[in-house]
Amino acid sequence: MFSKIVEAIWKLFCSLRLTVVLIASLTAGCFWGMFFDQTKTLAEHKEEWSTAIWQLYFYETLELNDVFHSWWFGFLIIFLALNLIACSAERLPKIWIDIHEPIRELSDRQLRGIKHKTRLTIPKEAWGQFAQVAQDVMSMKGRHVFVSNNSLSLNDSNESGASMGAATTYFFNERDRYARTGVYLVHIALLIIMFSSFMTTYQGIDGMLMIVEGSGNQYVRVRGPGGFSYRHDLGFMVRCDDFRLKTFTNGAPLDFESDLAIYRQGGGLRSEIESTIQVNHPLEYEGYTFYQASYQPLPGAQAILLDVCENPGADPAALVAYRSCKESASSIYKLNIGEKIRAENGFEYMPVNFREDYMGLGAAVRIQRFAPNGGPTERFWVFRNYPKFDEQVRRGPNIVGFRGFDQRYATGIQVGKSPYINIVFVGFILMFSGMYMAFFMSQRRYWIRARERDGEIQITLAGAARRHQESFAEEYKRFESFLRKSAERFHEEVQGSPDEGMKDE
Amino acid sequence: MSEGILTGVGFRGSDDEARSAMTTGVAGHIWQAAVVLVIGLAFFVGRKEMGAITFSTFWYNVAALFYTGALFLSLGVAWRPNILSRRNAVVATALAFLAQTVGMVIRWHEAGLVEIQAVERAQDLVLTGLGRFVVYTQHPPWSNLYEIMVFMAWGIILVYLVSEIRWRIPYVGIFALGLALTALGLASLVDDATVKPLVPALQSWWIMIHVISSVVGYAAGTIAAVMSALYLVRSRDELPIEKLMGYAMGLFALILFILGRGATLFSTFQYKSKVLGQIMGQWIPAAANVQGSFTPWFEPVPGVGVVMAAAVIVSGMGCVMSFAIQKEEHFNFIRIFWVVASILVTLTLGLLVFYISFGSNVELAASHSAQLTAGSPGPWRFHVRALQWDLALFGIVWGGYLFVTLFWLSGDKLIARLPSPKVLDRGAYYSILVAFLLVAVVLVTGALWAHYAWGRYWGWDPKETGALVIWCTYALYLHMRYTYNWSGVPVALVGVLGFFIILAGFLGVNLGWFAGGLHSYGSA
Repeated sequence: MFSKIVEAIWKLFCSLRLTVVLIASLTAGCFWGMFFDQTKTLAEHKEEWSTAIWQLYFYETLELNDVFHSWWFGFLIIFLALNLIACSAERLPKIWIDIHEPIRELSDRQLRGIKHKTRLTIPKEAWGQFAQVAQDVMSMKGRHVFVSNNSLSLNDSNESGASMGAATTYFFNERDRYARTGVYLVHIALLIIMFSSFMTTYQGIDGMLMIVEGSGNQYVRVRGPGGFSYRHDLGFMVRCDDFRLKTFTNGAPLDFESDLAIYRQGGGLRSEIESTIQVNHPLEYEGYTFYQASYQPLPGAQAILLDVCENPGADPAALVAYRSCKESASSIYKLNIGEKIRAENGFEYMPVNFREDYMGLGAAVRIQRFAPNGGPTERFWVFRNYPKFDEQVRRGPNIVGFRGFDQRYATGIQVGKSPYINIVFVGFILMFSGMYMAFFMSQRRYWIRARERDGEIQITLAGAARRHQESFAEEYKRFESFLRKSAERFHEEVQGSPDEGMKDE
Repeated sequence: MSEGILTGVGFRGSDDEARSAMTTGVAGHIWQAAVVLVIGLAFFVGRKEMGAITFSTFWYNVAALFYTGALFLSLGVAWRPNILSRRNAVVATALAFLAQTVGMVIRWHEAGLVEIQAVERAQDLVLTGLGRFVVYTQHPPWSNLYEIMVFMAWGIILVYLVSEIRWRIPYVGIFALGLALTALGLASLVDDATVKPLVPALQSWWIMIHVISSVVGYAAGTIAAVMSALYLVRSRDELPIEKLMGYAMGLFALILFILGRGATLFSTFQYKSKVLGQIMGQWIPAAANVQGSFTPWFEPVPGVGVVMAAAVIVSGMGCVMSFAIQKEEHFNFIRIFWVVASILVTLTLGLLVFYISFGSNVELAASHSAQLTAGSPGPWRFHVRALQWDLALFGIVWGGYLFVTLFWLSGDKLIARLPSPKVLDRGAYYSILVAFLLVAVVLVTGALWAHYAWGRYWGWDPKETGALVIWCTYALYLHMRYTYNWSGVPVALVGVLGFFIILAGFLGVNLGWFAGGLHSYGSA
């Protein structure tokens, strides 16, 4: 009784019908998951969809906020994995035996199931020649007809092969015999990928770390299975020293990067590692990978970038100094509104206010100048889009340039830890190798059987391939016509020579 | 130019004349290709006057013109196979493909110039040497919806031409050209076709292999679906056509249900569309101020919802009937449901097209217009720009009904003229093999790219899931074929279904038919 149940279960998991049903249901499940926004929480889903109590139970039971980690989806995947294992366990040994111990001697029973077969006759006298031709062609390399001699068996009762009496001679040739294992390689690869993904779900980390420029953070917000979010302690502090956003002139981001430093408890003020991360260029540390994912401008936190250089006037020597001052980054000051900067000649400058767009001329800053020793103050505008405005129009003791804003940002860092990623990559490689074997290679077998009947030798040629039947049919045709021509040649030769003809009569 | 192609290669008369015309025809093709290239070169030289950005679209237009010519030629070949040679249609297609390829190369060049200019401006430097080359080549012409649709057309024709070289299956070309032209047409309706600098996440070499394999893979799936559909038509006499009608009605009911946003359709019997108004030559949607954020305003298209709901109900009932009815003498019921559903779908599409083409301005209800953004100009219209993707899906459903009806009613002569079932089956099988492999490449390169760019290799994002679903469908096809040795009707059905799944997984996700789309309708 018990063994019967086990047998029934085993049969169920071995059946390909189950595979088809499972793949179809997984496909349907994926669609189902695509319908519901998986980034929302269960509460949000319920608020949006549930209008009756049964709907509420329905969403909760089927975990529609996280379809891909729900119990039923998991069951489908586990069933598929079991199905794959069972199918392989049942079929692979048989196939392995067939690969290593193929039936080399063509029997009539086997012949019935083979599509490509040809019967020829050759005169008895030509047997030696034919055996040579057959052996050559079955072991031929580098020809389109046949290529390898993976296993050639010449089972002749009489070793010479020239006179064989009532014995039967068999030839066998096989090519790409391991191609049949390709499909199992794909299945094993899929199992590996499924297994490591499953492990990653429970042991990996996929979370978000928001760090305000100039501060640090050691807690990652992780979205776990079931859509529950939790806080993961990294065990070390990630500090963002600077965040830089490069934009195109239309304001769209060109690239953004963060200077990160990692500090450990007990490490004092010395950082363990410092690195700049960019989109597509992450930092790896202790199995965690830090990816530049997003950024957020902090409202109201804008500093103004000004450069202040001494007016060269008409002095050529001062002009050189002025130029180098304009080009060097050290003459750029980062100022908040109301913050003063003192130039070398004693004048002080202070941004008073700014406008994003000053009368259509673009961003501008109003500067207040304080003369040294309590001299008169002056207010003037400098424009971001017209860097030469101050030099050409105002001509004060110092030339002030407005280099733009320094917005403070919070950098969004995706923190990932996938301990099994290398296994997944191995799975990918296996999968493609298996697919190559399964789809591009084709196991091909040829048999020749030579038998004496009615004073002639009957030749039976048969061929079978696993894949690409059309191209195999052509190959078989070429081979067949070659053998047929040689057989005709033998007939002609035998009939052509008078001695042999006499013997026949 | 298309006229030249048409008159230059058409010939009639005796076989000898035909043969001589064929040889001059080939010379004529070379000559015409030279003319096209010279004209192209002239435009290339004069591109400063045309403006660099419009130049690739000029070539796309040339390609579309040639595709249209090739489509008419293919139809001509189908109509009178003894007068027109198939080679003419194929050569015209190949020329069009060439023109499109040239257009895409030029667009790559244009995008490269845009990238260089943008980077130089943003960073205030002059790029030289390798750095310049990297920036110049990093923006391939498949980085936004417009370009993807153009590329999809290119992929479909590529796969078709390869299949043509390998198997020469007649009649596939008509559908391939039709689909390519549809893709180009949809591309021309995309609002923003300009080249913009790439966003940081796309600045990666993965985009090359990832997108190429997805487009060629999905194109192979599409061609496989065409061959499978032709297979079904060819083996009509062996098919339980009423059962097929049932399955088709089920599928179409589902698509219509999704299109009508299910709940909206059956709670209000309305089919809603954005309403657009013209401001300074541009069509922009009416927007309502909902809790401080602007969301597009949807208005029911009069009458459509009721007819559409009826179509869904009748199709759904037809589907159920096909499962319930077993006796052959009752099959007429299914046929009646089919005819009624066809009429209803035709009416739905007709009403929609009518309101888009001839409808008067839309009067928004007073309570609604109060919510509209202040200063909205009006007058508001239902416009094709707001409905293009819905229309495309309606068109597919309607085309499906039309196709099966024709298939049901068409004469035996026409069906006998189609290629043999064996050839079609083999073509579909190999196309699906290619699609299966390439979608695997898409999944794996996508996973690798996501690992290096986003920090996770798989996240069940709708786009990823869509690709996985397509792959699963083809895995199903192959398993059915290998293990059950089902070649023929059941696998052909899966092959046809693959096209709809590609539509959903590839375009549907992009256009928000799933999560996003449902959500935005829910809140409107």
